Amino acid sequence: MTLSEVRLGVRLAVADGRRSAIAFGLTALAVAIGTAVLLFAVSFMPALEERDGRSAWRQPVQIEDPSQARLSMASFEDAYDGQTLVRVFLAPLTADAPVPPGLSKLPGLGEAYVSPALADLLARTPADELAPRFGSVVGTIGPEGLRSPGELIAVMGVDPAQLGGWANPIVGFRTEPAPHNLPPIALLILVLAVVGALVPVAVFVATATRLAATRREQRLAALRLIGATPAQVARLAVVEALLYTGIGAPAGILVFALTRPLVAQIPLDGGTWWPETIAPPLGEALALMLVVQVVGALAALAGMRRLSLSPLGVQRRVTPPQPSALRLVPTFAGLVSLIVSVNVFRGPDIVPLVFVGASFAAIIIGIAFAGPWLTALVGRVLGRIARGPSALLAGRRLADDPRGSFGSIAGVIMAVFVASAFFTFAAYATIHAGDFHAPTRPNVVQALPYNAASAEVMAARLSSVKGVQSVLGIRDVGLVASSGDSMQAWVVPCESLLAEMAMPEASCGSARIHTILPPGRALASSYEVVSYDSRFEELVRLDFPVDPATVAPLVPDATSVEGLPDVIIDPIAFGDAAAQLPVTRLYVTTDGAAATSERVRAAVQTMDVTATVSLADTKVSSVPQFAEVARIVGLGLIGSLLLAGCSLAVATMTGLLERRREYTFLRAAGMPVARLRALVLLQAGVPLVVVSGFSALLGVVVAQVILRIWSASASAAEVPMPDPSLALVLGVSLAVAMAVVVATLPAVDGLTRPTSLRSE
Amino acid sequence: MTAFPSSVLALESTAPAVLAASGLVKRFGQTEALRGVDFSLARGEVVAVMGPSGSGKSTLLHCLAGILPPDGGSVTFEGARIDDLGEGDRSRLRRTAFGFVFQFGQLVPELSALENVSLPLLLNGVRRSVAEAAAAEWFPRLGLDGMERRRPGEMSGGQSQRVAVARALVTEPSVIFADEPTGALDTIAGEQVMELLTSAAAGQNTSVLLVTHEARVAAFAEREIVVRDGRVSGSDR
Repeated sequence: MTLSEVRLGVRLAVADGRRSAIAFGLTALAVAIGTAVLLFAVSFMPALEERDGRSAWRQPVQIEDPSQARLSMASFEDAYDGQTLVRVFLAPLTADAPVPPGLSKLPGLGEAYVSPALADLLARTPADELAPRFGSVVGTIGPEGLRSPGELIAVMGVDPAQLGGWANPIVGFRTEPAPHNLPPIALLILVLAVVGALVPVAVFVATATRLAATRREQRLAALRLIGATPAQVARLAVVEALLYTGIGAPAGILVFALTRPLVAQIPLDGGTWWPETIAPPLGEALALMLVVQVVGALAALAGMRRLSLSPLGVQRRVTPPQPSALRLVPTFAGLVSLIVSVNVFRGPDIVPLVFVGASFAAIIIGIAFAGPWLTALVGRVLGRIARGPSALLAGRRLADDPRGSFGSIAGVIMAVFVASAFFTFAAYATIHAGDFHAPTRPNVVQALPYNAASAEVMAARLSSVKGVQSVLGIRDVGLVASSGDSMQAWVVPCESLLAEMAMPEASCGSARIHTILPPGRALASSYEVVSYDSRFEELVRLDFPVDPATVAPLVPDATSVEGLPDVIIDPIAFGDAAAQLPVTRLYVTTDGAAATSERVRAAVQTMDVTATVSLADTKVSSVPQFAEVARIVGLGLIGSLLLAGCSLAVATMTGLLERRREYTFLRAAGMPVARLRALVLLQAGVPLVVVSGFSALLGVVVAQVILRIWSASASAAEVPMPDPSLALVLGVSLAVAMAVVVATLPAVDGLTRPTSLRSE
Repeated sequence: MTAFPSSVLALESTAPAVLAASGLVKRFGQTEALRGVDFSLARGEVVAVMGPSGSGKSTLLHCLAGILPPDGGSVTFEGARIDDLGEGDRSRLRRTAFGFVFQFGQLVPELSALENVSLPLLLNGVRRSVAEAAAAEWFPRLGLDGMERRRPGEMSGGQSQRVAVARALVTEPSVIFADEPTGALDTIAGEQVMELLTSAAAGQNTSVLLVTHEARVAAFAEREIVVRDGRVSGSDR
């Protein structure tokens, strides 16, 4: 490529005055946004690693010789008012015990260092609800010891004996983070989310550089006519494309830098970010800049193919060949492959994930392949049912150039598919999140003191906490039959237990032993009852003959009950021996106020630092990051649609320029400009809405198929529709995309003003 | 410069005017395109506006049709001034009372010939089935039988111009403005188009204002005026 070709290419690109500036601005903006999104994508893993590095010290390093231990530590994830709160207990064993990062020295007995966010929360919270859980606060933890700026964490000094079986003896703190241990389903979804975000960006970058092709083709066709070779013309096209990406990509760095503080506020994996930790590795960033240029140049070359065949650059409009319905085949093939692979390979192994992932990818690619056919169909239907000229023209334009129309929205469609599938998975995870908890009433707080000896004292003290109405002590025991068969049992009066439960189908009757056993399983004639402490050391062992006359099922259908043991035994069945069994679980009935629940939690943990407290709405999710990933997917979708809006705006304006003469004549003949604006909106909006709807539907169907097949073998059989927030996110995304298109409408009047006829 | 004998000069028709202009002035920056033009067009009359390139004949057509607002003078249609109407009202007037035929490129390439002809009716809010039925009636009258489903790119230049004529006539306008309607056609096709345009207009008593620089085309008019340097310098017949 010669310098004169570069100069000519640049001159051609900017030769069209204001029109050039509009197309150039929108195209460069789309490239900039796409580049910024990709920069964030490559920054994600380093930022996650940086975060994990900051919190690595909390993961104890196992030592072989406990006698060398210098410190005993235990870490608990807890909550306050629905927010995750981490408590780390440190008990020095030697005078030279190590100090964790972010602390100037180890907290003394009963002292605590807290994070700035926790200090702020403590200052805003009534003293009896939170402060008693931490003792005396003596300082704050520095950023080097925190996972995220807003993390709620306290590091407390305790006596080694207080940690019981939870104590981890260590020599020093870990400095390297342990590998991220995400569940396979979360891994699959994260991979899909990343692929789903990257593919659209790549498509957008390619689309954005292709959008100015109409004007470019006319100019370059003129050059072909006067003897420029196809290679020369191709090089000029590349120069022009590089002008867009050459300015758009560095502008993307600016967009990245400007939006980084906002992106840092998006929580993921338990916290927000320090903006400076979101930084792409230099090598990857440079490679990315290069990739954007290459993609732009390739897209420009691809756009030149037609021009090379037709140097006149003028194509007479005849009825073009329509995309074939065969384009649906890859999508259906992906669907069939998905159903087969989910059916054939069930289980947690990686093999099914590879097949499921490949099928998923096939469907996504299939949608991109089927898109033009669907767009043409939408255009034909719109043209057929149109009553007014705007819809008729929009329909015919779509049917005539479905590939061009779909090109602008291809990325969106894939993002919509991934998002709708994800939100369906998320809804499933959410409704089954609490399955491991007993169905207690909303105003019941469960406390699990690990120091069994303290439970009785704790029960007595909790009765005096403001807002507490009653405290029920439960004795967890194991039943071991002579055959070796074992069951879990709670020793508690049935009526008292049901008073705490939201189980209208359960009834006690006169039986003393109530079973919650699946069909085909029954009690043996006698058991040994065994009680353990928190170190799983045996405390009590009693003989327990079972009188069949005193046994009755607690509920008609035990398969629908989660979170309860196999057997509920009335203490009367043990006679005086019941008193030997330690209380291990407390159900605290409150007045229902959130503050009371927090007071209970504070009181329990003041007495036993290792006790766990769970409220009725505490959910145990198998995929804890779902809500955060959903937020990222949602934002990705909105970002994708913003990019699509830019692409659509440029595409529709380019289409308008193509038909400028005809539309100007129509306006001269009396067509109101509002009809032309409606035409632009319909041409952009109808395929966007219809094809997005199709993708959303397909995403939900695919996710439902996977979940139904999977849940057929699991106890969690109910497969819900996607979370309603999907509709909200989709609606907002579509509104954002259309807002960009609407922003270009004022140009419609200027471009087609009938007064311009005198210069035609 | 063409000179017309003063004995045959007749700047205005003696019949009642459907469209008239008085003292029409139009400027584009420093350039004065029209310098006080007086003109009238009778109902059913065909008038040719002739003159060299840049003389102001197309500007006159655009001012009379309400496409360009004049800077001075007045334009009246059926006795009412239209030069002081807003853009919306002028658009409505053009849509309902006027028809247009341009040199080329006025048909929408994506639409079939039938849809192109029915477009003005759709713009006027006529139901699509009614609009297409009315549009279809024009095809045999203009020798376009069997062309209804063809796209503009699938027709010859003459056929496309006949479709454009049908589109201009389908709303049964009071006036048709034709700006070089045969400029892109060969002699035979041009004459066919003019023959069909003038006879169809006469059939529904529609006036035609025809801008052309070709004497052959102007010969289809009942009266000619000549525009030179922004002024009507002569009129014939």
